[in-house]
Amino acid sequence: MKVNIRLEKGCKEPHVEIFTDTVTDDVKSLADRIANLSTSTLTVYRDDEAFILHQENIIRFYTESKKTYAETNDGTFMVKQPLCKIEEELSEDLFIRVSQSEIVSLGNIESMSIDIMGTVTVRLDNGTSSVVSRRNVTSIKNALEIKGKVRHS
Amino acid sequence: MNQIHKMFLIGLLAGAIIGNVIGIMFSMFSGTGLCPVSDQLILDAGSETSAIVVQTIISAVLGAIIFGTTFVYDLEGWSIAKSTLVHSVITFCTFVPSAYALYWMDRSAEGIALYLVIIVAIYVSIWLSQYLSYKSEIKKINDMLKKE
Repeated sequence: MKVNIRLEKGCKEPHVEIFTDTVTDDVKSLADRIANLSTSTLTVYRDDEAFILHQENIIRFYTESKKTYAETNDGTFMVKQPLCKIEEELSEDLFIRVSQSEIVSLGNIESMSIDIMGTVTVRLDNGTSSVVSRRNVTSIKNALEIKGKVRHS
Repeated sequence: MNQIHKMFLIGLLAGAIIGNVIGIMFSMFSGTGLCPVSDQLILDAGSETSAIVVQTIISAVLGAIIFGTTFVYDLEGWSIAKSTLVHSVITFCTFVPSAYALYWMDRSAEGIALYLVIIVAIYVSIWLSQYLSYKSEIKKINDMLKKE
């Protein structure tokens, strides 16, 4: 199969077109695989190099100085989309928003705590701690409950 | 209409109602008969109707400010303690002058001190109940995480 990549200015979201004279099962299967791939992976950047990351490998997304980053065990990468756009693409089973500037992987949450002042923090298994908006505490609990039920069913 | 506007309008209505209920309660305790406004306010306003109008307006504005500023509890990065402290200061700074104007308090240092104690007690219980409620939620989350 011939594969072309065409660079287009202003084309922020990559899209794939398949040219064929017949829609066979193979073509349908290919289209399905591409569609699933685009939702479970994310293009990220580091030192002008582009990488494709699987959502499962991302520990958290955060915004700092108006830039969005994805943190993994292999380091931090820059993401071109804003956090709200990334949130739309992420699997709800894998990620949860903890504050206006941060989305974390549910599977990487180690523990949560509240200090005497009433500041809630989440600790991730890579040692990172992040402040949690109190309005998100219930949604974190619900997401973990659903995740636990899915795992045990 | 956003949440702040909604709370402001709810506060306006609640304030007008609660203000007059407070007035009736004060008259019941003072034994001067059932009247929503104090005798001194009637004297100041010139008539009972004017006094009720003044009390309704002031308490509606008071309610709107207290309810409308509850957004401080939702501010990103603000702890429960900070939100509670800021809201208690807003309440104290608006409630005491209103209570003074409407004769809901003794016009003395003791009267102000009494309101200070009441407001501090109310807000300490708000902070404590919120703190304990979140602590309990977080305990449930940590228990779930330990099970995984």
